[in-house]
Amino acid sequence: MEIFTIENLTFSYPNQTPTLADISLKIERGAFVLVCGRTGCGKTTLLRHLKPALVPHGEKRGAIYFGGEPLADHCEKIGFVMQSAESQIVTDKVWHELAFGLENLGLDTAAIRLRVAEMANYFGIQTWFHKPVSELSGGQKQILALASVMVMQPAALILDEPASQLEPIAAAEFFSILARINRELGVTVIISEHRLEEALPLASQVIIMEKGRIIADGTPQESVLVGQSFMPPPVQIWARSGRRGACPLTVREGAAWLSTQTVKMEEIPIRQHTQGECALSVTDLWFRYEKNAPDVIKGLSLKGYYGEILAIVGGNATGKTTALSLIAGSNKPYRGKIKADTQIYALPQNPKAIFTEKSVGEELHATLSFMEITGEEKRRHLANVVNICGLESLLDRHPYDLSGGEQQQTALAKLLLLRPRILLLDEPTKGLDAEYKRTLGKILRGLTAELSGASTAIILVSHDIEFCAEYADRCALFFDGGIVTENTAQRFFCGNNFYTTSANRMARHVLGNAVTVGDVVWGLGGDVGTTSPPTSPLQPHEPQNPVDSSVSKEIKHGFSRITRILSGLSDFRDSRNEPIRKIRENPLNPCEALESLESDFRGSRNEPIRKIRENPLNPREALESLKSDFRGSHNEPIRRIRENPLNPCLIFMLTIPITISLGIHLALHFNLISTLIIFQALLPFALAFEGRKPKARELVIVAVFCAIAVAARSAFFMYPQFKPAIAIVIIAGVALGGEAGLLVGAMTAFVSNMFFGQGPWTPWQMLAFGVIGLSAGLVGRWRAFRRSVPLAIFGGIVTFFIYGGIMNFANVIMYQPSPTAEMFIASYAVGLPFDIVHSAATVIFLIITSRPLLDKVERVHVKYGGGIAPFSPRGIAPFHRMTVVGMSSRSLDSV
Amino acid sequence: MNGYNPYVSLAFFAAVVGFTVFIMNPIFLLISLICAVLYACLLTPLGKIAKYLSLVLPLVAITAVMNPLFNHRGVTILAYLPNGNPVTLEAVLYGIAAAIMLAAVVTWFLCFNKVMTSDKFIYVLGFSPALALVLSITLRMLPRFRARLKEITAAQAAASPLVTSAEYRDNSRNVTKRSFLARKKNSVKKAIKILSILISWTLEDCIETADSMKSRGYGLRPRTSFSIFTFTRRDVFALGYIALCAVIILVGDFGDFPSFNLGGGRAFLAFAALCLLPILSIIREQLTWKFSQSKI
Repeated sequence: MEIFTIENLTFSYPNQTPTLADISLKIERGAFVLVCGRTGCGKTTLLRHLKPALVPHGEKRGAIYFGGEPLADHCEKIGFVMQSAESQIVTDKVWHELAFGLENLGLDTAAIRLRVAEMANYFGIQTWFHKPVSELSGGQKQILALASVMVMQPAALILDEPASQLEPIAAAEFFSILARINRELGVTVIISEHRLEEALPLASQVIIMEKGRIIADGTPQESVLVGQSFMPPPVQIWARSGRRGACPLTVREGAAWLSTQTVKMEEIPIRQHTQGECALSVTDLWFRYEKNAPDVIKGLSLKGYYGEILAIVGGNATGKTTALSLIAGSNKPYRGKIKADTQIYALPQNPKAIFTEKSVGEELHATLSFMEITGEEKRRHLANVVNICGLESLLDRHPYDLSGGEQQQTALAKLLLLRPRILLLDEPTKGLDAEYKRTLGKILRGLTAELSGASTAIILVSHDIEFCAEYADRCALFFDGGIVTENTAQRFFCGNNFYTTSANRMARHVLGNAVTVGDVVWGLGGDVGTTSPPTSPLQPHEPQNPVDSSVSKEIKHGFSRITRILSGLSDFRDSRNEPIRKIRENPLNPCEALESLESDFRGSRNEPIRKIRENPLNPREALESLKSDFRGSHNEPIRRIRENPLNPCLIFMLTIPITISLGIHLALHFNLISTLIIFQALLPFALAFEGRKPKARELVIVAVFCAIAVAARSAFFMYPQFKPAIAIVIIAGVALGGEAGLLVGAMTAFVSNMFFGQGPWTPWQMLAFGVIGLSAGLVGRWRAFRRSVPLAIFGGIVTFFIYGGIMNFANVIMYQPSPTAEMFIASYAVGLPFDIVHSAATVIFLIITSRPLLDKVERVHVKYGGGIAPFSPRGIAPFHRMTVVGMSSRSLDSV
Repeated sequence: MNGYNPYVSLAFFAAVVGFTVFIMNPIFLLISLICAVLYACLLTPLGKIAKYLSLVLPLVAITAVMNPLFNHRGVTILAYLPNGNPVTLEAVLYGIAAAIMLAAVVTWFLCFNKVMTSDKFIYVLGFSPALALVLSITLRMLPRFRARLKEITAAQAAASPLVTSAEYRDNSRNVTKRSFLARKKNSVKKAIKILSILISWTLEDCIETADSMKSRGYGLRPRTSFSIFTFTRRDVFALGYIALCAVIILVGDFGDFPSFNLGGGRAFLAFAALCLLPILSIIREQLTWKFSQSKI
């Protein structure tokens, strides 16, 4: 019986060509379904349609049935595991994460205890049950994510590239658990994955997608006939050597299959490798992270040569990445020498760590502005790098909108602009699909092959053996803090029995010295594109552009305008989802349209907007359909973090005199009275927050701001009072509204004191930070305060008067049992210099960061269909203008 | 108070700190200070306490000095300040009492920080599941941000010209040429850039966290708050003990000055019994442990 039936599903993101086109699909109960295809083929969109809570906005046609019924919100019955274990874990402790889903279902403690215990046993989590999540390894995190979905006892489990961020051993373990869930519990598994070596043998059904369509659907043997380019090596070898016999899926089957084939030669000739000049020499490095910790790097020596890719391979946690950080200079060895010809540049493992600008073009310009070369030279240099990295079509895109592979190409381009002669790469193929790996390999090859005497020395660290075998010149095995063996790539992998490529393991008994797919195919007499053994390891594949750029760009512009307007509109709606009935709009300029809407809204604050008169940008249907999508219950309704400061304030006002008079009557200590008052002031807000059942996004965004403020409070210790925490609280208040601002402020004070130490000062700081957040939310209603200078002035004033005022007052109240006026004066006098530094810090931070940060919040708000920024209409107008102007001004020609 | 239910621990600390502050009585203060120091010694290594004291003692000293300087009530005049105001013995003694109170409160909070770990706070906040969740998510993100800050800093150092090229050259050639202010300016600029990268990165992937919450049913039904803490018989006894002590102290008859009548004496005993609760429970545990071990 089918568990999922999809009939003629067509889906398009607002105003784009369909991402899914006419998909029909049947999935049997208990099946293990593998969905594969290149990045951008619609896999993720398809998988998200199977989980009602995650269906993206857009226009959808067709039907999806789950267990014979139209797909409703079967939350517990369908589990979803996402790509990044890091960001899908919500809570801080392993046990809490396991219980999270069950808490949401409203189960009682006893029931949760039982189910959590069961799950911990099944997944072998007992030993790390009490650990904080931050201490887990990547593999453990992903297993935890899986377990915390399984604890809800789903009938179907959907996984979107779950193993792409894992190293091979962790990935293998993850897949073995997945196989067990499928086999022992009969749970239907639907998984998309790039790494097919492990997934393919488990699959009972393989679906291959291309450009939003299903191009193959059947058993693995049937499906692999299509799209072999991203299939595992045995399939590739079989396909490229003439498709004789049944297709082997695993190394074991491949070896058996090879035995039946006639091989043209005994062994592949050894490729010769000529070494260039030495660029980098590292001798006898020793390093440990802390004085009393064990050594991580023990006597590491290596040499890097120009025109050569050196790949350092080896197991997890052997110190490879540390070794790279030593060479890059971010850690210092306590013994040993690093001698480099020129400056060393390193590409970070996560490209996001170096993105600062709003578009790829601006990213590149930002880097270029540091180069001391003339304009004409700059222009040529930039064009060259853009060409090398294939970024022509991406220059106007926001870096965060790119796929992982494109982000990496952008980061690499940023680095190449600096003309590195020595380049370090840490796990460059992590999470990339086969196509991007080839593109990357080509770029790296191109860098080392530059003839003009400017070739680069590349050192990369990787788990990806196949990639290293294909593109590296030399390989080194890293183990226990040092390099065990080192050789040219071909000799290196031929000499190993376990630590070698699948092609080598598969072919070694019939064909010596073969390490890559190309080698084996050549040995079988197949077509490798070249006549000689592949000395140039480039594969005959064209780099692909997933979307036609010019069209997509135009579509995007239109789309983003619409989304902006709509998210603006939706904010006028209150949270009860009253229909928009009237939108009056200026047909020429969306900004003006928004403004007119605003004034409309101001006129009748709580009345529904009644009519959509015209949509200036696009056909009315588009707008209508978008609107209904926003209204639909699939997505979290867009709502502002509503604040009604009046009610909590009323309670505040009512109870405080009672407390004071009671306190005086009972002759209580001032400190006690004031602490009670603070809690009385804060509690109503807390209860109001609880009472209106905040949405997931609101909660997360509030937590994010708290965590940033706390991290910033502890990270900046340049000067005693030079801290950006208040600036961040103010930005949170302006971006999210007063209630959220108060919450962020109070929570920041509370959480940071968990590290600095709680004390009688905690409630005072909570009050000070909270009031600042609240006041920021109140002034954030005026557009004037969304500009950096007025906001900074506001920030300086509140820091000085509210924070300084409250804390200096508190210092007397806290420590003096019988305060006098002189004591307060003395306290304010002593506090004055600190308050001045503090408010100066707030002003500086706000001037520099407030506008970009508010833009960022709004970008996320617009991109993901809302849910986080309450005052977007006012914020979006300047944001919008900026983008429109910025869009064309920064391109290749503007240098 | 480590093994008890967090609410019991909270009640204990609230009672002890409350009585210390509420009843400004020299004997209460001394009992409180001694017990707090003893308990702190049992909970934390001595080195840490020493470090803590070095921070707190100046504050205590200031408190002791502040009172006679600004408070001139009292009949026994010891000296006159340059501005003509008297320094009285009463004010000096009162200042010392205030200093002891401060020291006691701060030491109790040292123990409090040791006992009330983050998961206990989340449990205590369980009356408001939304707030408890915000706290939990915040605590989840913090170590992640710290790691990310490090990652960004390292990446900036090795991949960005703003940091490297300029700094690289500066370090090697003309460090002295740049003024203190310029270097500080650069370091602030660098820090802000790193912070800004952290924020964009975080904002983008917090959407995924929210999706993960939704996909696990967040918001469908009223949430419950699960915890691994239980309320056992032992907790009931401890709570009863604290309540009993509190009642005896509250009905105890004592004025501003210690009077050793029966009511006052009972109050002192009860307060001492209250303050000693954690110490007694640790000693008892250790004795039981020793006893049961020696049997084997």
